[in-house]
This record gives sequence, C-alpha cells and structure tokens, in this order.
Amino acid sequence: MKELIKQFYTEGFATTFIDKPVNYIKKKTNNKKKIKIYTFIIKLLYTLIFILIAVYILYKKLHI
Amino acid sequence: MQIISNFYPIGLKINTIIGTILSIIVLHKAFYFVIGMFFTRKFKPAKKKHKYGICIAARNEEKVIGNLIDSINKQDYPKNLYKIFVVADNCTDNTAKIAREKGAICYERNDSEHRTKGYALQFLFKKIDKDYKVDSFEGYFIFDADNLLKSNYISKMNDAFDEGCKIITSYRNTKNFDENWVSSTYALHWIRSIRTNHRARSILRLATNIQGTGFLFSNEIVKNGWKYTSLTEDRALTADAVAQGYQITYQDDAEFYDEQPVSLKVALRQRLRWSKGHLQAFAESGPYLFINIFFGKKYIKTNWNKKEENLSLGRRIIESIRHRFASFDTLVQLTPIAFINLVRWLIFSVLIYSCYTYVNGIDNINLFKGSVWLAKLLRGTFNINIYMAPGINALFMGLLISIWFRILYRIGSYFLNTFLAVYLFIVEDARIKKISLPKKLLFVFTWPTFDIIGRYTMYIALFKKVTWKPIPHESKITIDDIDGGTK
Repeated sequence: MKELIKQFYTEGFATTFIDKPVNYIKKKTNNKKKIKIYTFIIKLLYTLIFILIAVYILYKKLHI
Repeated sequence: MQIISNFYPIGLKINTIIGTILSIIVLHKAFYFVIGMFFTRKFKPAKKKHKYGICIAARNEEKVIGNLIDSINKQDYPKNLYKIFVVADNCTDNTAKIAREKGAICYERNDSEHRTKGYALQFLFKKIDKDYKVDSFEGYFIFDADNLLKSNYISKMNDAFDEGCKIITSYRNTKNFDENWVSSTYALHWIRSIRTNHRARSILRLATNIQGTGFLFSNEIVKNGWKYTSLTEDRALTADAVAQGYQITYQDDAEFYDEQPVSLKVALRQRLRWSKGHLQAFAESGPYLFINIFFGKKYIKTNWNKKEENLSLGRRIIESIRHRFASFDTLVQLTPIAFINLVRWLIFSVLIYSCYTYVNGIDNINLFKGSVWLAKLLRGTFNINIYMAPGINALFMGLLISIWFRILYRIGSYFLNTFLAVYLFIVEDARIKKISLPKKLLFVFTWPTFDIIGRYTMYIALFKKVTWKPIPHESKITIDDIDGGTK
C-alpha cells in the first residue's frame, strides 16, 4: 500500500501536476514553510481531482 | 420480405442482448484503465543475478543489429552472466558478419519455405540446446534486431525474475516516435497497451500479453524447444502460458526502444499479419481458454511442467479464481469483437431493418439518431426527420440510413478517441521524447486511424491468405543518441 501511495504522488500525472508546479514555486520563493504549505495544497487538490476523474471514468465506461 | 420484417422487433431485442453481453465481457477493462492511470507493479532489487541467453532473430538487419548488440554490451549487468545469440534468418546481407564482429554467437538459417520469426526462434533454440544445453541459461530474452536497450534494462528485468516471475514483459518505447504520423500511431499504441493492460494486470497478478519483443521467460518454457511458429507467435505463447496458470508480469522500469514502420504500405502489411495471427490464435487457443474458465487446468494443450506450489486451501481457491479470470481475460483479448459487431450490424441493422422499411415504410426517424456525442450535438442543432411510404424506395432508404448511422457513430468515436492520445501524451510526458506542439496535435488527430486500420485488416484477414514478410528497418539511432547510455 505504501508503494502504491508513493506511485500515486510521484509517477505519471504527478510529474506534470505536482512536480512542475512545486518546482515553479521553489524557483519563486526560498521560504521553506511556504513551499511546504503550497506542496500540501497541490497534493490535496491533485488527490481530490484525480479521484473524481477516476470515478467519472468508471461511471462512463460502466454506464452506471 | 414480410417474414424478415416481422422478425425485426425480436431481432432488435436479440441485437440489444448480444450488445449487452459484449459490453459486460469487457467491463473489467474500465478498472484496468483506472488502475493503469496511477499504479504498476514494482520489484525490489534482486538478491541474485541470474544467467541469461539473449535471442535475436534477424532477417537482413545489417543496418540496425550492430546498434542493438552495442546497447546490450553497454548494460550495467555482468557480461559473464549473459550471452547474445543471433539467428541470421535467410539473410542476403552482412547481418551475420556484423553480429559476430560485435561479439554475438550467430547461427545462419536458410529455409525459404518456413519463414516466420517463430521458425527462426525454433531453429535458434535447437542450436542453443545442442551447443550449450537450454538449462545452462536460467532465462531467455527475445528481441527484434531493431531494438535498443536502456543500460539498466537487464538489471531491472533481473529484479522481476529474481522475485519469481517466469514471464516478464517490459516498457516499449519508440526510437522514431515523431518521424511521421504512421510511426506515432504505433508508438501511442504500445503506450496504450502499457497503460490500459500491462500495468493493471501485473498489479492484479494476472497475465498480460507478450507483444513480440522485449520480454524474458524462464528456461522451463523452452525445455522441449520453441513451438510457436504461427504469424503471431507471441499470441500463441501468451495463450499457452495463461492456460497453464503462468502469470505474465510487466516491469515498468525496464525500458527498450523499438523502430516503428513509417510507410503506410508496410504498416498495412504488418497489421494484416497481426490480424491474421490474432484470428489464428483465437481459433487455436480460444477453446482451451474457454474450457479453463470452467474447469481450471483440467485440460491443457501444452505442458511446460510448471512447478506447482504447496498452497493452503485458501490460497488454492484464490489461485483458481485468478487462473480462471486470467483465462477469461486472455480469451476476451483474442476474441474478434470487431468482426462480431460487423456481423450484428449487417444482419440486424442492414438486412432485417431494410426489409422492415420495405414493408412498413420509414416513420419519423431523426437523421441524427444515436447515442454518440456527435449525434446528440447535431440533433440539438438540426431537427431533420425522415418519412417514407413502404416500398422499394423505403428499402434503399433503410439501407442508406443504416450506413449513415454507422458513419455518424464512427466519426463521433474518432474524435472521442483523440482524447486518449492527449491522456497518453500527458501521463507519459517524462518518457516520450520532446515533440513540438504542432506535431503532437497532428499525432493526436491521426491516432484513431490505428484502430480503424486494425478493424479493416481484421475483416480482410478473414478471407485473405497472409504470409510473413519482413519489415524493413532503417534507423541509424543508437542508444547513445537516446539517453547517452554508457556504464
């Protein structure tokens, strides 16, 4: 389970929707606390959005 | 005509039932899609480095084979733990000479009657058994001559092999992704297979499908030689493996590069062979896979003497369910669903419906009828209804309407399918080479032609005799060009 969670936040979509925004923020500020907060918000939004996308895809494909 | 027309309401119900059954049997693919979006099976670093034979079947591949052997020699894996074997199959160029110069053991085969890759591999394994004994290597890799391996490829595959996996496939990237739209459709197809099949099946401990090259298997599979000589030897091997209860797993971290056709003529030829081989595999292996779903491993065609583990009752039940589902999954993959749908359409929507309209006429049919998004959009914009009195004109109009609705559905599906290409470009952004946006857009819009070609080659393959012909490989790209792959 740990490995799956790690994959969810580090691979595939995460390289575009987590890594790139986080790297952008790191370029704009050196404040470690701010970086931590923004990273948390990005990961939270990513989790919510992609869970919704996954549910929607299943809904469409299964014609529920 | 009247009798056929009277059958129309029942025919409609039968057609709907068949459609529902077909939808149900592919329902599990939705879960594969979602699982593949985020997850794949990972392997711990191996405790032991195993010994491998690397098998390459080559026919007039002097332009590319040297680069493949170079990429193998650049692996971060002990050289004494692998040996490269090449079968120069009916070659009229310097393939054998170049392979030997690069350090491969090369056997030359001349048999113009038995020409498939499977026959070449069969010859090669006979030679390996005679000169080395098949058991002297713990596993065998199969590559095409145009492949290139990332420097950690064998190490990563060894990680999976060391964990007990007997048949492992790997990440198939493309050397010439952006050469033109033809190569890009193939490139996207392999990535689609990874994202929608291999990753999920691997995590669920099922059996994904081998795709011709870039795979590793245990020596027990060739203990009695290589038996798969059809047009698509990979499909036959997959079906046999599944029937015997083998898992076919996928190692996402082992990446290799392949050259795709750039000519439409060559691509059509290859697709026709795939379609024919696919149908052959369905005919040969379908019945056994179907029996396996209900009777487990009671009836198996081939026996590689798989060592059965001593499992508890609970584990045995789980293994039985796993095996039966893997058989079902592989059977569904082999089933020519496109052809079944074509027959359904011809019988119910064309023949029976035309007879119905001949007898009853056409009463208020919307020109843009259908559930696809395009039909809904056009219906919302234009309200055009068709009326026609019974008779011969209504029969021909019924025929035209059936064809028109099919075209409308296909156009709508074509545009929907482009979203899959967008998804693949985003989710595999880290691994796909840098391509300009205009080219990406072109490839997104040409991508759905891959499945269209597959559909029509399937129809043609039913009736046309297909023989194996080599695909020319011209790419001068080396592994250094791709990733500076040095130790």
